[in-house]
Amino acid sequence: MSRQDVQRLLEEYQLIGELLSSLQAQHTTVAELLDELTTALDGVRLLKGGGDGRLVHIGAGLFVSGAFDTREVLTPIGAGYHAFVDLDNAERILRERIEEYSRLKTSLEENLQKLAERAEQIRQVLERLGARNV
Amino acid sequence: MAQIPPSLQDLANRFNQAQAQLQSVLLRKQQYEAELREVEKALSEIEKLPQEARIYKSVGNFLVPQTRDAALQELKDRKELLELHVKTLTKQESMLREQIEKLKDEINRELAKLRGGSPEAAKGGG
Repeated sequence: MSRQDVQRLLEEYQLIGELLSSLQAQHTTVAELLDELTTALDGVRLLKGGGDGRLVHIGAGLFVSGAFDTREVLTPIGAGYHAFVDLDNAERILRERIEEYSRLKTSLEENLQKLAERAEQIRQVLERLGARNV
Repeated sequence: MAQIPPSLQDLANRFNQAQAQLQSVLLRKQQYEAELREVEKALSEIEKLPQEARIYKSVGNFLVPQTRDAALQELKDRKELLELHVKTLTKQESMLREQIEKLKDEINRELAKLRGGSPEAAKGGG
Protein backbone atom coordinates (compact mmCIF):
# COMPACT_ATOMS: atom_id res chain seq x y z
CA MET A 1 0.00 0.00 0.00
CA SER A 2 1.45 3.34 -1.03
CA ARG A 3 1.82 6.38 1.20
CA GLN A 4 -0.99 8.03 -0.76
CA ASP A 5 -3.31 5.08 -0.06
CA VAL A 6 -2.60 5.38 3.66
CA GLN A 7 -3.26 9.11 3.49
CA ARG A 8 -6.58 8.46 1.73
CA LEU A 9 -7.58 5.90 4.36
CA LEU A 10 -6.72 8.34 7.15
CA GLU A 11 -8.82 11.03 5.49
CA GLU A 12 -11.72 8.60 5.05
CA TYR A 13 -11.39 7.55 8.70
CA GLN A 14 -11.57 11.17 9.83
CA LEU A 15 -14.54 11.88 7.57
CA ILE A 16 -16.39 8.82 8.87
CA GLY A 17 -15.67 9.99 12.42
CA GLU A 18 -17.28 13.35 11.67
CA LEU A 19 -20.26 11.69 9.98
CA LEU A 20 -20.70 9.34 12.92
CA SER A 21 -20.78 12.28 15.36
CA SER A 22 -23.33 14.08 13.25
CA LEU A 23 -25.54 10.99 12.86
CA GLN A 24 -25.31 10.22 16.57
CA ALA A 25 -26.47 13.77 17.37
CA GLN A 26 -29.41 13.32 14.96
CA HIS A 27 -30.20 9.96 16.52
CA THR A 28 -30.30 11.51 20.02
CA THR A 29 -32.64 14.27 18.81
CA VAL A 30 -34.97 11.77 17.10
CA ALA A 31 -34.98 9.50 20.18
CA GLU A 32 -35.90 12.49 22.39
CA LEU A 33 -38.68 13.47 20.00
CA LEU A 34 -40.01 9.92 20.04
CA ASP A 35 -40.06 9.94 23.86
CA GLU A 36 -41.96 13.21 23.84
CA LEU A 37 -44.46 11.96 21.25
CA THR A 38 -45.00 8.74 23.18
CA THR A 39 -45.66 10.72 26.38
CA ALA A 40 -48.15 12.89 24.50
CA LEU A 41 -49.84 9.80 23.07
CA ASP A 42 -50.17 8.33 26.58
CA GLY A 43 -51.70 11.64 27.70
CA VAL A 44 -54.25 11.65 24.89
CA ARG A 45 -55.18 8.03 25.62
CA LEU A 46 -55.66 8.90 29.31
CA LEU A 47 -57.91 11.82 28.34
CA LYS A 48 -59.91 9.49 26.11
CA GLY A 49 -60.31 7.08 28.98
CA GLY A 50 -62.06 9.69 31.12
CA GLY A 51 -62.47 8.98 34.84
CA ASP A 52 -61.99 10.97 38.03
CA GLY A 53 -59.15 11.43 40.43
CA ARG A 54 -56.57 12.56 37.89
CA LEU A 55 -53.48 14.31 39.18
CA VAL A 56 -51.43 16.70 37.09
CA HIS A 57 -47.71 17.18 37.56
CA ILE A 58 -46.79 20.82 38.07
CA GLY A 59 -43.05 20.23 38.52
CA ALA A 60 -40.62 19.04 41.19
CA GLY A 61 -42.83 16.06 41.98
CA LEU A 62 -45.86 18.18 42.93
CA PHE A 63 -49.30 17.17 41.65
CA VAL A 64 -52.69 18.88 41.70
CA SER A 65 -55.96 17.20 41.06
CA GLY A 66 -57.31 18.00 37.64
CA ALA A 67 -60.62 17.51 35.92
CA PHE A 68 -60.75 17.58 32.14
CA ASP A 69 -63.91 18.38 30.32
CA THR A 70 -62.13 18.85 27.01
CA ARG A 71 -62.71 16.47 24.12
CA GLU A 72 -60.37 18.39 21.83
CA VAL A 73 -56.66 19.14 22.03
CA LEU A 74 -54.60 21.74 20.21
CA THR A 75 -52.38 19.55 18.05
CA PRO A 76 -49.44 20.38 15.80
CA ILE A 77 -50.45 19.37 12.28
CA GLY A 78 -47.21 20.31 10.50
CA ALA A 79 -45.64 23.29 8.73
CA GLY A 80 -46.06 25.49 11.82
CA TYR A 81 -49.83 25.01 12.10
CA HIS A 82 -51.87 23.84 15.07
CA ALA A 83 -55.54 22.92 15.16
CA PHE A 84 -58.04 21.80 17.75
CA VAL A 85 -58.83 18.21 16.83
CA ASP A 86 -60.82 15.56 18.68
CA LEU A 87 -58.96 13.00 20.77
CA ASP A 88 -59.22 10.23 18.17
CA ASN A 89 -57.63 12.40 15.50
CA ALA A 90 -55.00 13.69 17.92
CA GLU A 91 -54.13 10.07 18.67
CA ARG A 92 -53.94 9.24 14.95
CA ILE A 93 -51.71 12.25 14.21
CA LEU A 94 -49.39 11.32 17.08
CA ARG A 95 -49.26 7.68 16.00
CA GLU A 96 -48.36 8.73 12.44
CA ARG A 97 -45.57 10.98 13.75
CA ILE A 98 -44.28 8.17 15.95
CA GLU A 99 -44.20 5.79 12.98
CA GLU A 100 -42.42 8.39 10.86
CA TYR A 101 -39.76 9.09 13.51
CA SER A 102 -39.36 5.38 14.28
CA ARG A 103 -38.57 4.74 10.61
CA LEU A 104 -36.08 7.61 10.67
CA LYS A 105 -34.50 6.26 13.87
CA THR A 106 -34.13 2.78 12.33
CA SER A 107 -32.59 4.23 9.18
CA LEU A 108 -30.14 6.30 11.26
CA GLU A 109 -29.21 3.21 13.27
CA GLU A 110 -28.55 1.25 10.07
CA ASN A 111 -26.32 4.03 8.73
CA LEU A 112 -24.51 4.32 12.06
CA GLN A 113 -23.88 0.58 12.02
CA LYS A 114 -22.52 0.63 8.44
CA LEU A 115 -20.25 3.60 9.15
CA ALA A 116 -19.00 2.09 12.40
CA GLU A 117 -18.14 -1.13 10.57
CA ARG A 118 -16.26 0.77 7.85
CA ALA A 119 -14.39 2.81 10.49
CA GLU A 120 -13.43 -0.40 12.26
CA GLN A 121 -12.15 -1.94 8.99
CA ILE A 122 -10.00 1.13 8.29
CA ARG A 123 -8.73 1.22 11.87
CA GLN A 124 -7.64 -2.41 11.61
CA VAL A 125 -5.86 -1.82 8.29
CA LEU A 126 -4.10 1.24 9.65
CA GLU A 127 -3.14 -0.60 12.81
CA ARG A 128 -1.68 -3.44 10.78
CA LEU A 129 0.33 -0.88 8.84
CA GLY A 130 1.66 0.53 12.07
CA ALA A 131 -0.17 3.85 11.92
CA ARG A 132 -1.21 3.64 15.56
CA ASN A 133 -1.92 7.29 16.19
CA VAL A 134 -5.37 7.15 14.59
CA MET B 1 5.86 9.91 -9.34
CA ALA B 2 5.35 11.85 -12.57
CA GLN B 3 3.75 15.29 -12.54
CA ILE B 4 0.07 15.46 -13.44
CA PRO B 5 -0.31 17.37 -16.74
CA PRO B 6 -2.08 20.74 -16.34
CA SER B 7 -4.92 19.67 -18.65
CA LEU B 8 -5.65 16.63 -16.48
CA GLN B 9 -5.31 18.69 -13.31
CA ASP B 10 -7.80 21.18 -14.74
CA LEU B 11 -10.24 18.37 -15.55
CA ALA B 12 -9.84 16.92 -12.06
CA ASN B 13 -10.50 20.34 -10.52
CA ARG B 14 -13.62 20.79 -12.64
CA PHE B 15 -14.74 17.30 -11.72
CA ASN B 16 -14.33 17.98 -7.99
CA GLN B 17 -16.11 21.30 -8.34
CA ALA B 18 -19.05 19.69 -10.14
CA GLN B 19 -19.23 16.95 -7.50
CA ALA B 20 -19.33 19.55 -4.72
CA GLN B 21 -22.05 21.48 -6.58
CA LEU B 22 -24.06 18.28 -6.99
CA GLN B 23 -23.80 17.53 -3.27
CA SER B 24 -25.00 21.03 -2.45
CA VAL B 25 -27.91 20.77 -4.92
CA LEU B 26 -28.90 17.36 -3.54
CA LEU B 27 -28.82 18.68 0.02
CA ARG B 28 -31.02 21.68 -0.84
CA LYS B 29 -33.40 19.46 -2.81
CA GLN B 30 -33.68 17.10 0.13
CA GLN B 31 -34.49 20.03 2.44
CA TYR B 32 -37.18 21.38 0.11
CA GLU B 33 -38.67 17.91 -0.36
CA ALA B 34 -38.87 17.42 3.42
CA GLU B 35 -40.58 20.81 3.78
CA LEU B 36 -42.93 19.94 0.94
CA ARG B 37 -43.95 16.69 2.66
CA GLU B 38 -44.62 18.66 5.85
CA VAL B 39 -46.77 21.20 3.98
CA GLU B 40 -48.70 18.43 2.22
CA LYS B 41 -49.34 16.73 5.54
CA ALA B 42 -50.63 19.97 7.09
CA LEU B 43 -52.81 20.59 4.02
CA SER B 44 -54.32 17.13 4.22
CA GLU B 45 -55.09 17.56 7.95
CA ILE B 46 -56.68 20.99 7.46
CA GLU B 47 -58.79 19.68 4.58
CA LYS B 48 -60.27 17.11 6.97
CA LEU B 49 -61.33 19.83 9.43
CA PRO B 50 -64.73 21.56 9.35
CA GLN B 51 -65.03 25.16 8.10
CA GLU B 52 -65.37 26.54 11.65
CA ALA B 53 -62.28 24.68 12.91
CA ARG B 54 -59.98 26.58 15.24
CA ILE B 55 -56.61 26.76 13.52
CA TYR B 56 -53.50 28.56 14.72
CA LYS B 57 -50.29 29.50 13.00
CA SER B 58 -47.05 29.45 14.94
CA VAL B 59 -45.26 32.82 14.83
CA GLY B 60 -42.24 32.78 17.10
CA ASN B 61 -43.59 32.19 20.61
CA PHE B 62 -47.13 33.04 19.61
CA LEU B 63 -49.95 31.03 18.15
CA VAL B 64 -52.01 33.30 15.94
CA PRO B 65 -55.57 32.27 15.05
CA GLN B 66 -56.22 31.81 11.35
CA THR B 67 -59.27 30.84 9.35
CA ARG B 68 -59.35 27.50 7.61
CA ASP B 69 -59.45 29.18 4.19
CA ALA B 70 -56.50 31.47 4.93
CA ALA B 71 -54.44 28.55 6.24
CA LEU B 72 -55.30 26.46 3.18
CA GLN B 73 -54.42 29.29 0.81
CA GLU B 74 -51.11 29.99 2.51
CA LEU B 75 -50.14 26.33 2.50
CA LYS B 76 -51.13 25.91 -1.14
CA ASP B 77 -48.95 28.92 -2.06
CA ARG B 78 -46.06 27.46 -0.09
CA LYS B 79 -46.56 24.09 -1.76
CA GLU B 80 -46.47 25.70 -5.21
CA LEU B 81 -43.26 27.57 -4.39
CA LEU B 82 -41.61 24.48 -2.93
CA GLU B 83 -42.56 22.38 -5.96
CA LEU B 84 -40.98 25.01 -8.18
CA HIS B 85 -37.77 24.93 -6.12
CA VAL B 86 -37.66 21.12 -6.30
CA LYS B 87 -38.24 21.21 -10.06
CA THR B 88 -35.44 23.75 -10.57
CA LEU B 89 -33.07 21.76 -8.41
CA THR B 90 -33.96 18.52 -10.22
CA LYS B 91 -33.01 20.18 -13.51
CA GLN B 92 -29.74 21.42 -11.99
CA GLU B 93 -29.10 17.93 -10.63
CA SER B 94 -29.48 16.24 -14.01
CA MET B 95 -27.31 18.88 -15.71
CA LEU B 96 -24.58 18.38 -13.13
CA ARG B 97 -24.78 14.59 -13.40
CA GLU B 98 -24.40 14.91 -17.15
CA GLN B 99 -21.45 17.28 -16.72
CA ILE B 100 -19.82 14.88 -14.25
CA GLU B 101 -20.20 11.96 -16.64
CA LYS B 102 -18.62 13.97 -19.46
CA LEU B 103 -15.73 15.03 -17.23
CA LYS B 104 -15.25 11.44 -16.13
CA ASP B 105 -14.97 10.36 -19.79
CA GLU B 106 -12.53 13.17 -20.54
CA ILE B 107 -10.40 12.24 -17.53
CA ASN B 108 -10.37 8.61 -18.62
CA ARG B 109 -9.33 9.62 -22.13
CA GLU B 110 -6.50 11.79 -20.74
CA LEU B 111 -5.38 8.97 -18.45
CA ALA B 112 -5.41 6.54 -21.37
CA LYS B 113 -3.30 8.94 -23.41
CA LEU B 114 -0.81 9.17 -20.55
CA ARG B 115 -0.62 5.41 -20.22
CA GLY B 116 -0.57 4.99 -23.95
CA GLY B 117 -3.52 2.62 -23.83
CA SER B 118 -7.22 2.64 -24.58
CA PRO B 119 -9.78 4.58 -22.48
CA GLU B 120 -11.15 1.23 -21.33
CA ALA B 121 -7.79 0.40 -19.79
CA ALA B 122 -7.84 3.72 -17.93
CA LYS B 123 -11.25 2.85 -16.46
CA GLY B 124 -9.67 -0.27 -15.06
CA GLY B 125 -12.23 -2.37 -16.87
CA GLY B 126 -9.86 -4.66 -18.78
